Amino acid sequence: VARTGSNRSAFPPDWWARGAWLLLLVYLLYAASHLELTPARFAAGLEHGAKFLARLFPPDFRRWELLVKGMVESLQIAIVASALGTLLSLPLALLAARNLMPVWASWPARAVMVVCRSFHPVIVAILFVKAVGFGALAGILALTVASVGFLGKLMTEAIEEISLKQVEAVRATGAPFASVVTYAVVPQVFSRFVGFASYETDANLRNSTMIGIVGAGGIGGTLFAAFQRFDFDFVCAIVLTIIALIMAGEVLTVQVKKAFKA
Amino acid sequence: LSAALEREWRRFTPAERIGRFVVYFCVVAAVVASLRTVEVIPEFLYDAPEQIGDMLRRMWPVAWQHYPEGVHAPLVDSLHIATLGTVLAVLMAVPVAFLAAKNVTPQPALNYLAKLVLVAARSVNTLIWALFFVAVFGPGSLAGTLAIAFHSIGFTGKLLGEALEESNRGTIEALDINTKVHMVADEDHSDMFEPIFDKYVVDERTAQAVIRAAQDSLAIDRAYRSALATAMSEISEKAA
Repeated sequence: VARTGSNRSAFPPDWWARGAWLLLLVYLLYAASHLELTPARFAAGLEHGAKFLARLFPPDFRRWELLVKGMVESLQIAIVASALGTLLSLPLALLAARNLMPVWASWPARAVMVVCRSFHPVIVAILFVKAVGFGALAGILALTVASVGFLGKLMTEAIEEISLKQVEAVRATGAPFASVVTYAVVPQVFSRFVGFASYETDANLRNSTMIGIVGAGGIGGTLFAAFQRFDFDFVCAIVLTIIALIMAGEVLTVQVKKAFKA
Repeated sequence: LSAALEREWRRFTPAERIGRFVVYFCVVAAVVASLRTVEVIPEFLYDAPEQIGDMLRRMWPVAWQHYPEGVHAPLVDSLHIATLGTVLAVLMAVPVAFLAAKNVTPQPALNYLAKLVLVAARSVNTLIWALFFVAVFGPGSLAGTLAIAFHSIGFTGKLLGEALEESNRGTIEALDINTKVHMVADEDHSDMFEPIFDKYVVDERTAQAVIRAAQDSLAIDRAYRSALATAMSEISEKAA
């Protein structure tokens, strides 16, 4: 009656995929050989690691004034950069949305965002340290650029996903463009924008603790100086504070999103 | 009707409006406080256009002669660090993600522990991880690879854990049932199929269709299929 004892396998071997996996493995082994990880180095590393950990603890909070000053500056950088970035990316995102704007407007706006997004904030910070000197201003500008790139992209995508029915309805009443935006576009995307902005603030908080390494203000400079002077117990204090701040930021983000969930 | 017309309609409840107002207030207060207190040296700002001009002038023309000895090797190293770091991160994130997923590991204590590991790995910036591993292994790509890997555990593990929690229960059930059928088939209890097919299979054509469907369905191995086919042919002979 039936095709009894068919030899067809449920998972036939895919030789192309196996070849690709093999190539990947070969590449990984080749790349790993560049790491120069020898057993001797690993053993020495474990020893160094143990020593390092021993010197990290207990954390030294005696220079808390320096710590608080750096953390406050990081916080200021993150807040100002997020606010500036959000303000700048709102009109830019509106310009870049292809469902509302002609090509000649959306294309340049998109180009600006791509340029803003193409470099790591730390690299942008290096450029701004040259332009406006050491200090918080370089950090603010660097993180603003990063925020514009990222928020602009997310907001543009959100605007492009809106339902055009409401836009059409508002247009049909004879409303000017500004009213179309405020009554048909903004209500559809507002809660998502709040989510994006709080996410970006979170990201800026993380980055603002780091850009100090290149001299752009914040706790990063203090951290790097302490590390170079082998004050590992102070390094530990700084890192713990940063982790606490970032975790607090994550909790706060969740709360803000909850308030705007509609 | 007039009462209905005069009624004021509001989109949000008072609690929602208060919540939003608190958020707005805190945001404005934080921005104003930051702007007033942040240390910005205005002299540096006036100087900025000149400095940017100077930088751009010195950036051009691009000095490509530095590429062979100064840029190429570190660039390739960066690539290696990225791929190896990713692979290591995924390898380390998988077990943590399985521990973090509530439906895979129904142990709240283990879930929290795994989630704590993920949050901690994420909260420590890549650069801080790098500082740590440079102190342990000395400067070089090894420290970079491990830094990327340890930081990435946080995000990879979080996303993977959430994906596991959202995974389709039906697929898991299907595989579960399939395993049970396998066990039955392996013990040669082909007669166990009879009641099932007696109920559903009425003629030979349906029997063949069912066998084909069974053979074509996913993950049915040879033992299962032959047991099924034997049972089916017996049934259909009886039916004929």
